[in-house]
Parts: sequence; structure tokens; C-alpha cells
Amino acid sequence: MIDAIHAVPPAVSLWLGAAFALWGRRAGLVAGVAACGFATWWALTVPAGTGRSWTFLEFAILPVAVDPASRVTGLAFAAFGLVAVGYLAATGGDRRHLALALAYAGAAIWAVFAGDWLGLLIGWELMALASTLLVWLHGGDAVRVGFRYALVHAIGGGLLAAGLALHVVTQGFSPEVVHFGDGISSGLPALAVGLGVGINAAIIGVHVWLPDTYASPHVGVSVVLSAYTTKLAVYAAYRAFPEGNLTLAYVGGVMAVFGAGYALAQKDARRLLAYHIQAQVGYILAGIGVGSALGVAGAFAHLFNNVLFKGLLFMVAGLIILRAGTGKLDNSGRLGRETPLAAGAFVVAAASITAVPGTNGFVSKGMVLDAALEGGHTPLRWLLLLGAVGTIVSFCKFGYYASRRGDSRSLSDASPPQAATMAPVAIACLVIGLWYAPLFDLLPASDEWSTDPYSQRHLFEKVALFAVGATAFVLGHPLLERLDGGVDVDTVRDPLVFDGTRRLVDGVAAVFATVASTDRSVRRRLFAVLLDPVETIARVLPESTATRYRERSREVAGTIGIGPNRRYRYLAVVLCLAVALLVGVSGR
Amino acid sequence: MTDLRPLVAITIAFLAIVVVVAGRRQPTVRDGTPVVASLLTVAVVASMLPDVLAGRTPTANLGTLVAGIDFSVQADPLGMLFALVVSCLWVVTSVYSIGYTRGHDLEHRTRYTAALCLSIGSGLGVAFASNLLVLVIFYELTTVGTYPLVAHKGTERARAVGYEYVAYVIGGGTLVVGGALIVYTLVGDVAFAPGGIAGLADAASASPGPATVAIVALLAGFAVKGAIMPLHAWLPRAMVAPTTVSGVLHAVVVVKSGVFGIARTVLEVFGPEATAGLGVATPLAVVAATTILLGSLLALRQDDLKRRLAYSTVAHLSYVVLGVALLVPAAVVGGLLHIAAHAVAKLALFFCVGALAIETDIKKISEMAGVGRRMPVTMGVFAVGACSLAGLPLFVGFASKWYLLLGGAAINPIVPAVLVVSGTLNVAYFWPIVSAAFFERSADADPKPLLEGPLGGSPGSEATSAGHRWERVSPNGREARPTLVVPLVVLALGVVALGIWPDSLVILELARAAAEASVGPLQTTGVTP
Repeated sequence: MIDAIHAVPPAVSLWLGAAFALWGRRAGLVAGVAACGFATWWALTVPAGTGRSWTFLEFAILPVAVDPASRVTGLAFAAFGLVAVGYLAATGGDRRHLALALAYAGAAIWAVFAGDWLGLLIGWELMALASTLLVWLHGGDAVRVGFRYALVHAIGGGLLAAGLALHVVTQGFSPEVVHFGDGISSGLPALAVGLGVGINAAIIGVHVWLPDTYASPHVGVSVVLSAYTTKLAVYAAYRAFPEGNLTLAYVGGVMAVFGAGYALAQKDARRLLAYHIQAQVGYILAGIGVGSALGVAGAFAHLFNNVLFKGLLFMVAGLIILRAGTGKLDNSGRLGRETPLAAGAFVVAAASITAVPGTNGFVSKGMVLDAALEGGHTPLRWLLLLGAVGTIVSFCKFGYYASRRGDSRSLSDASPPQAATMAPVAIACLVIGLWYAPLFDLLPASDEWSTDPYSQRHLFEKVALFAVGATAFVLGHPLLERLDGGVDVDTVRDPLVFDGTRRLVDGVAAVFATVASTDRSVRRRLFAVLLDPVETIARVLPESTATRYRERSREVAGTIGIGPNRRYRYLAVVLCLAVALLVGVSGR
Repeated sequence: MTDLRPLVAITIAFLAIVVVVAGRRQPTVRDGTPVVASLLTVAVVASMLPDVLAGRTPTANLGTLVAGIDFSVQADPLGMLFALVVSCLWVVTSVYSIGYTRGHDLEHRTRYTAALCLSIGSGLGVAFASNLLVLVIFYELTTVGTYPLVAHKGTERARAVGYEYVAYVIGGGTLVVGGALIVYTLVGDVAFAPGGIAGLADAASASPGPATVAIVALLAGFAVKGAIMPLHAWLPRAMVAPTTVSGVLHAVVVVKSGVFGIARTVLEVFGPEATAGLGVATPLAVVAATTILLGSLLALRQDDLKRRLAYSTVAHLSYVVLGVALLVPAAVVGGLLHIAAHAVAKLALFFCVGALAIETDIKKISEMAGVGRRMPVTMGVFAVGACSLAGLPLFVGFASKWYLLLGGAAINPIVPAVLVVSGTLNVAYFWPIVSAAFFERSADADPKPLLEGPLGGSPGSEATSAGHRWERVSPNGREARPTLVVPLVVLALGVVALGIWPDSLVILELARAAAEASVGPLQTTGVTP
């Protein structure tokens, strides 16, 4: 079981680090590295099992629950956090960036090691909050981008919570019902949770926040963001569908193609990489969706590797942006012989993402493709292969522009601190690619599957893919030249939501205003009857009578017309007395 | 057995009026009395907590008032919940009030303070009332207490708004009296009983006509103060009052007494079965859901800060009504919990707006760019309150939203859908305020989304994102004065503490006890009805 020091969720150390970071940049760096280092050690050494349960809103939540899936993901998060914090500090991030980045990573690690849905949801929403603030910190254009990001994630988090509530209701209430168990009940709960998770995983239709947001903030923030949100989403997808789900697999397959395809059209470095996140997440979802032991293991291996090489790619892109002032690939200067470190890092990362043999990407992509093959899902396999070709073409393009085309000035190389954060990741990519046994030991169900990444079939397949990809790039590159960003869902979504909501709100306000003015005029008319009955009556009389009526009403009684004079008055009094006397006397 | 503590809790506030008026020439007495009185009230109310949680109901019965109805006040879980909210928030308000009146140099401070005490006292009376008649008496007293506060400024507009407010609320009160009369003729008793007044369910099925009229009258009458659409129009207009008033009364006491009345009617006058049997529950839930959505939508286009908060209040009050109308244990717990959750968060928001108005004279969102650098604590508390209302976990708003989701999921998937949309709309109308305050500069600020600005912002405000070095401007100092900031920070801490430890801080227990008494426990009968 889990002993004392392992009973504390590692997220706590990251959050403490975040608090320390508010002191200053250097304090933040030291605290961040220490916290992430502790979390990495924790992820490596904690024994599998669950810790104590806490009561939250009458449900039993498990802050610490370790199994291979959470260990691999948590290890990736913690280890990458080390370099990400370093890169953020090395590229000019201040104490607020560091504090928020640590809070964000802490929330992610909390969510990964939580053994129940409620704990995951807490981490999920806190991540959305921290990442929104991280994007906003950049100011300027990023404020509106961050707002859109926050809206999308609010919907995602809300759908997740709603799906969870539906799941609890379906399963029946008990304190342990939120534990992961066998996944989410099928039907409406699965749909809601799937959609909520899918928004964070950037499935097609709700993916636009990914390129929109990751291309906007500080370069170090992009690196941090790239590692956590989407990967936690696929981890949550695994928890929701531990037996796999074929729809999910095909959604992943389509994402792999779509992401790679749109990436081809991008000219901005970070947008291109963001679309590739979607493509790679598609691979991972395909692996989880297939559901076999090999598929899940491949998915988690790919998750781990993705955190590494995607982060490295964003770091390189960040360097280009910082040195050249822009991320636009056709005028951002050259990576080449003068920049060995940056160029080397780029080559390693590009090789990993395109799955060149010898890199970690090759190992894990092969596993996912094999799982699709073994399960007999041929269309899925073709989709994934197509996505692989698209990735190859896309990185040929990136490399071509970065090293040959564009501005003839060359960039200065990575500074020592920056290189110090990039080198370990690049080395890890290569080492894991060649010495993959330790990674395989960490993966889920390691005794139920086996694979040989460097088998002849794999190598042959890879060579074929590269041949196709390289040819496609050479042939298609004039066309690619002319594309600039492409048209994505947000060209329709943004005006629709903005104008639609504005019109809806104005409509509602107009309805209420009409009701209010009608009510006011009705009241005024009612009061008019009470306050000025004469006028009200005069209005319904015919014209001639009305004038006479009004004249009469203005007259004061007794000043005109007939009124009795004194003699008549005395006569009246005498008459009344006489009558009274008569009545009184005769009444006997 | 008579336990005078509920009565004492109410009378402290009324005595405070006397002291304030007597000591009107000494500012210390006049301003300090509410602080002392509120602390005493909290002490008395809190002393009854162990009894209430153990299932006892301290009752103070002063004898027959009229026609067999007693003037009695009691502390049961539902009343205790509301009273705890009112009294604790009174402490915070009395401190804030001192800073606010001095900051704004408010006139007629004696009248203001005395009316505030009267309103709070009547609010406590509404909480502790043990039958409909006493509740109505204190309900109308609340109106008496709040009219001078709404019309405080004395301007033509303030008086017109005050007149309209009274017209709305007195109309509502009359409906409530009418409903109570019909209930009395049906069963001869108007005392609250968990699960419904004995015999009323049978009387309702025997003569559904009068019973329906009674329940509709009661609900509609309470709905006026509870700002349910279409009877909500007075609330945004009442924002002409000083901000402390808007906050504590029109976000905490007055409007909450309206939804509290609805909760009492559905749970403890007619009871869940009779309400459902008369076919009133579903229309009530539909009206509440509509109010939630439309209130949040209308908030999107308001530039004035207080009006935006007013429409947000309209929406959130209907969370309570929705929870109660669903008649499922989890939903009722969520609704009742939201009374407390919304009160704390909304009060923090209103107080931030007040501090902002005093220190910087900013009243509109379009003027707010960059103010967070000058007043980071104030705007930080605003962000905390906004997160709570949006339902983010580890803030108290999540607790009530979660229970509402659970209860709604058991009834119909459309209820969680409404809550998801509402949460998103909350983000949509609160986040731009936070981002404008902290992350924009007045030089290149934009009209916020959905205010009078084009899609994508105006050209001058764009900055290249790649390589853009964000200029850090050091804070200008001049955060709001301590009497304003300390209550804000206390409220924010309360929001977060209640969010992280809802199970151990007593509010959730009270809500559960109140729901269990009327609708049944969560565990055994499950969340399904």
C-alpha cells in the first residue's frame, strides 16, 4: 500500500511551487524545478494502488490512485514540467507566468492521479482556469483569444459534469459511484462525457480553439499548454471507455487525417504545430478506441512520447519566433549550420513526430497501427497511414521553410539556458526510440501484449510511407506555397455565435421592453380613470355632449344657474319642520 | 417548550434601530451599533446550531395572534440556513457600510443605517417565522425597511423607482396574503410542517380549484420578490440605490426571502406530493429554467456593472426555484445550498463594484480597462466571486451546481443542459470584466464582446502576438480603503473555504437536513423520485 510520503498527492508540491513562484522569477524557477523533480520521483517510485479516500460533497474521492495508465501519464507530465518551467524562465517568462504554469501543471497532475471522476473534474476545471489566465497574461490580441478559449472549455467542463451526473443517476447513488470502475454508463452519460472530453481533445468540429489559442500567447506558455490539456483529455477518454469504443477510434482516425491536412495549409509555425497536436491526439484516441491491450499500450506510449516531441517542437518554434519576431514560416529566417543546437533539436523532434526509425515516435506509432491491424479495422488503419503521410509532408514543408526558404538572414542559436532545456528532451526522444524496454514496462497490461518495433515489416512500411510522403511534398509544394491558413470552422462559428447571441439578446430585451411599455400604458390608463373620471367619461361621449359635459364639470356649484335665495331657504326649512311635526304627531 | 433565542435574534436588530436613532449625533454609536448588533446576532443564531443539527427546533411562541394562529418563531434547518446567511453577511455588510458611507459621503446616514437594521431584522423574521402569517408580517416589514433605502438618493428618479418597487412588492405581498387565507380556509392551519401541512394534501385533492388558486397566488406573490420572470423588472431598476443596499438587500435579504418563501410553500405548506399533484411543479420548473437562461442572456448586453449583476441575480435566484421545483432530494439540496452560495458570492461582487465606484468612480465595464493593476485585491475578489457563480470546483458555487446537476439528471436531461448553458453564459458575462481589469490597458481597450463592438475587436487594439513584449506597469497603489477591502477578502475566503470543505462547514448539512425533512433522504431513496 501507499506509505506516508507517497500518500500526499504530488500536485501539492507543484501548487506549493506555484505559491513560491509569486516571490520572484528565480524563486519560481527553483521551486518549479524542485516541485517537478519531486513529482517525477514520486511517479517513478510510488507503488501501485489507491490511497485514503476523502469525502467531498458526500462522495468518496481518491486523491491518490496509481495504476500503469496514470503512472505513465503522470510521469510524462511531471518530467516535462521540469523542462517546460526551465524553458519558460529562459525565454522571458516572469514570476506570474511561472506561478500560473506550475498551478496549471499541478492541476493536471492532480487530475491524472485522482482515482475518481469528481477529482478529475476538479483538476479539469482548475486547469481551464489556469490556462485561461496564462493565455491572458500575454495581453493584446491574446485577451480575446483567451476569452474564446475559456468559453469553449466552460462548455466542455459543463458537459463533463453533466455527463458525470447522468452517470451517477444511472448507476444509483453511493459514495463510491464516482470511482472509475468500468467506465461511463453507455447512452446519454457516455455521449455527454465523450463530448466534454472531446472538446478538450480537440475532436473535429470543436477543435478550433487549439490552433487559435496555442498560436497566441507567450512562446513558453505555448510549450506548457501543449503538454497538458489535450493529453489529460485522452487519459480521461481512456477512463471513460476502458474497453474501447469504435466510434472513438474512427473519430481519432479522421482527426489524424484532418489535423495533418490542415497543418499542410498553415504558414504560421505554432498553428501548424497545433494542428499536429490534433493529428497525434487522433492516433492516441484511435489506440484507446480500438480497446485491445496493444492498442491501449500503444496509445499511452504515444501519449508519453508525444508530450516529449511535441514540447520540443514548440520549443524550437518558440526560438524561431523570439529571434525572428514572427512565427510566419516564409519570412522568419533560417535554421541551418549557424544554429546547430536549434536545428539539431528540430531534426530530432521532426523525426520523432514523423516516426523515423530510431526515435520514440516510431516505436509507439507502430504499436497503434499494429493494434488497428490486429483488430481488423482496415479503414482505420488506412486513415492512420494517410495521417502519417500528411505528417511527413507537413514536416518536410516546415523543415524546408525553416532551413532554406524565406528571409536570408539567419537566426542566432539557442542560448545556453534554452539549450539546457531542449537537449534533455531531444536526447530522451532518441534514447527511448532505441532502448524502449523501460517504457514498455511502465505501460498498461504489459503482460498481455508484445511487439517488435524494429521488425522487418515495420521498417519496410516506414520506408514506403517516407517515399510516398517525400514524393507528395516535392510534387505538391507549389500548391502548398499558395495556401495560407485555410478556412476552418471558426469562420462560420464566430460570426454565428457573436451575431446570433447579440440578436437573441436584443430580441429578448425588445420583447421585455414592449411588455413593460404596454404594462405602463395600461397602468396609466387605469390611474387616469381613478384620478380624472370626468375626462374618461367625456372621452366616450359623443362630441357635442362631451363639450357640454366638460363645461358643466368645470362649473362650481352655486355660482351660476338657479340657486335658492334666502326667502326660499327659510321656506324650505319651515316646510321640512312642518313635515317632521306632522309625521311625528301622526306616528302615534 | 419555549426557547427565546429565535426571538432574541430578531429583536437584536430591532433594538439596534432604537440605539442608532438615539445615538444619531455620535457617529461612533450610529455606525458601530450595527457591527455590534450583527456580531451578537451571529452569536445567538450560531448557538442554536447544535440543537437544529440534532433535530430539535428551538421555538418561541408568544401566544395567539389571530383566529387560532400563533405568533411563533422557530429555528428549523431551512430557517436556520437562511438566518445564518443573513446574520453572517450582516457582519460583513456593517463593516463595509462604514467605509462606503464615508467614502461616498452619504447623506441621511441615520435613516440609512436604521432602515438597514430594520430590513435585516425583518429578514431574520422571515427566516424564523413558523407560519405563513408571521412570515407575511415580516415580509411586508422588509418592504417598509427597504423603501427608504431604494429611494435613498431622493432624486426624482430614485423616488419613481422606489414607488415602482413598492407597487410590485406590495402587490406580491397581497397575493401571498390571499393565498394564505385560502390555505387557512382549506385546512384551518398555516403553520409550516416539513412535508406539507397535515390535511392540506387531502383538501387539495378534494377541492383542487381553490387549492390551485392558493398555491399559484402564494408562488406568484413570492415570485415578485424572488425576481422570477416576468415579474423581475423591478430588480435592475432598483440598482439606483446605494451599492451596499443593492448588495445586501437585493442580492441577499430581499430577493432571497422571496425564493425562501417559495421553498417554504412548496416544501412545508403544500408539500412535494400536493405540489406535484396540483400540476404546479413542472410549470414552476419551466419558468425557473426560462428565467435562468433569459436572465443570463440579458446580462450579456449590459454595460453598467450593477445592472449586469442585477440580471445575473435574476438568473441565479431561479437556480433555487428550479432546485425546489424539481422535488427530488438532490435538487432540493442544491437549490437550498444555492441560497447561501449565491448570497456570499454575489455580495462580494456587489461590494467590489461599490469599492470601485468609490475609489475610481468607474461604473461601466467599458471604463474598466486596467483597473486591476490599481486595485488588485478588489478585482481579485471579483474574480473569485465570478468563478464561484460560474460553478468552478473548489468554489462554493460548484457544490450547489453539482447537486442541481444530480437532481436534474434524475428528472430530465434538459435540466443539466440548462445548467451547462447557464454556466457558460456566466463565464461569458463575467470573464470579460476580469480580463479587462487585469490584462488590458485603457489605451487599447475594446468594447467587450457583445457590447457595442464589432466581431473580433476594433483594429487599433490588436497587437502582434508573436514576440510582443508585454509591458509591465507597476501597481499604482491606492487599493480601496481597509474598511472596504477587509470585508471583501473575508467574503472571498468564505467562498473558497465553503468550496473546498463543504461537508464540514455547516451549510451543506443544514440544506440536507431541510431537504430530508420534506422530500426524503438522498441515500436510501436514491436520487430518483
